[in-house]
Amino acid sequence: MSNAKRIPVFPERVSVWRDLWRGLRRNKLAMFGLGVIVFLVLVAIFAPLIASYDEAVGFYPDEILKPPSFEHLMGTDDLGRDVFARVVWGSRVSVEVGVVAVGIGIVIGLFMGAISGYRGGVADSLIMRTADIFFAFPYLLGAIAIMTILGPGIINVFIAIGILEWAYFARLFRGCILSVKENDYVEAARAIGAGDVRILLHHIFPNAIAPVIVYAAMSVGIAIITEAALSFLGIGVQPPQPSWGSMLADSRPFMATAPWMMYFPGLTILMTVLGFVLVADGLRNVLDPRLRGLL
Amino acid sequence: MLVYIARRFLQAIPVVIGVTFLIFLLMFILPGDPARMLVQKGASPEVLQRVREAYGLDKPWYVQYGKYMWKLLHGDFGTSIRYRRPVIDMMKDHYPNSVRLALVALMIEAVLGVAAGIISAVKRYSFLDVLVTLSTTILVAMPIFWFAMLLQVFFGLKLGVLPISGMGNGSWRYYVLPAIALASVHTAFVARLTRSSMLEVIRQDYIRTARAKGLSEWRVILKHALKNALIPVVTILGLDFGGLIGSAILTETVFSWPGVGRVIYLAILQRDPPVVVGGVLILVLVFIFLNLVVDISYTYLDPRIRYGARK
Repeated sequence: MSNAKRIPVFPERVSVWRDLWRGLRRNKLAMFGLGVIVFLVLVAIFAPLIASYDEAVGFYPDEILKPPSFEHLMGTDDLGRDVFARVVWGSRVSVEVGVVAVGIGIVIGLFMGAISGYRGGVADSLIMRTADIFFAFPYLLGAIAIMTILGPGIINVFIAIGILEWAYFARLFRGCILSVKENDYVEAARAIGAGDVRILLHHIFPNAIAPVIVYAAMSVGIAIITEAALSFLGIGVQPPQPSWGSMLADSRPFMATAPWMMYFPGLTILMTVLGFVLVADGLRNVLDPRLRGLL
Repeated sequence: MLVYIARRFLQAIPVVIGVTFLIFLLMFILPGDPARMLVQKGASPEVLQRVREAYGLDKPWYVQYGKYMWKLLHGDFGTSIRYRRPVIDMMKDHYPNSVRLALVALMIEAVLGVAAGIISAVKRYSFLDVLVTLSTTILVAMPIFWFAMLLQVFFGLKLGVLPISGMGNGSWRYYVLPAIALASVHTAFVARLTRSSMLEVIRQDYIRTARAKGLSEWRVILKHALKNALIPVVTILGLDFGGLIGSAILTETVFSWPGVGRVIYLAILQRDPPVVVGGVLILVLVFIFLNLVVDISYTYLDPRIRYGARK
């Protein structure tokens, strides 16, 4: 490639976020997904205004297993708790897992990936071989193993998912860095005396981060489903804290008599994860040419 | 080719060691004293001490790990503390059930997923394509255990046509719902991958050549395009088999399927480390082995890799 091609005609600072947003706006399904995510976050934030916490966690002998009605939009469960209130309050668990657990994975993953891709050599081999060990674990199996060691509870769910996620982010980010660091502008930055940290943060990072954003959207969906699965198996979020996964576990004995107990939490999980999948798909389409083979 | 296979085998060894060490380390720092579970409540400290000595629980972790590895190399995957049975036997009893279920699920994936992907790619933007794209997107986001419960409600309880629990006498009827549930998410992945892979291949020159020499459209698609489009699909299917056995924990829990995922889950709940370590280890070894098989079958499907390895 001739060097002339690489010189930008209009040196304009384009942020990766604006790039992605422009592409995403044209995709109706992705915008729908984004709408679902925004809605979920709002519900989680304003849960106290939408539904009473007492109705979500108490015990109401007179209200047991009532089908959906105006009073109880999604019916009540075997303890007389309002399913709608539990779904609303359960959104907090999912949002927290999505943000914190994936956040842990991203922080560790980007750090390791940056060292691995930028430094190379022994550090690279060491980090990537360690990551290989994590890839050898079927995801849920690893999460279950970690949860049994740490014990149940939402904090440990964050840790378990974060520990499992880092390897994926590390490998992905390493690959992005390897391709970005060959660019002339990195060489140019070094030539004018920029240090490693400056080069990484200001020159490599902004150009290598886009695929990570796509994968992050996807992995928030995966994290939410994993938390639901762990809680379903009884080793995730513990009662009385409502979680969509444990609501599904509670509903199993009443599948025949009170199916609304399982319909609504399940549908909520599906819609939430769908939101993230659609956004991830949309973002991937924006970045497609650069992403093929990486995600 | 042989060099390539040998190299892939050698690369797998550190992963195997790392996995055994990681699992061992995790189980070693597990809270709770395994010796206490072996004896009746209120046992004297002397008894506890003797039990620890008998099982080697008093030794430092690296001694225990070394001993464990030594045993593994001799095919001894430990003994269940709870049931006092060799782990390998417990796994052997249940493994066939999981493998059978996973194979049925894999078949559904391969047939349904590939077929849906081909149709979707060949009839791009048609009604069928939209239907496939839409349903695969939904399936990808589907919590598998909820899907399993929906199957139970509709086919088991409402229609009453299929059994929803256990494997009974082993008739095919017991396989249908768990296999569909297990295959669901992966089928969607296979269909999406086949579609995008086909779309890519159809644009290639050799497809134009095949058409130009007058081959029928279906011959072009099935013979010339499919074989090339299937390369990434085979990878996913191979990787899935290990993943299927791993994710079978949820399906096996919902359907009370007497498989290995359920054994591991119960063992974790009962704090029976050897069973968890042995069980997870066997699953991971299968996973690593299948990766090798997939890599090697690559060289059959895509001669470019064979030639590349020879250089």
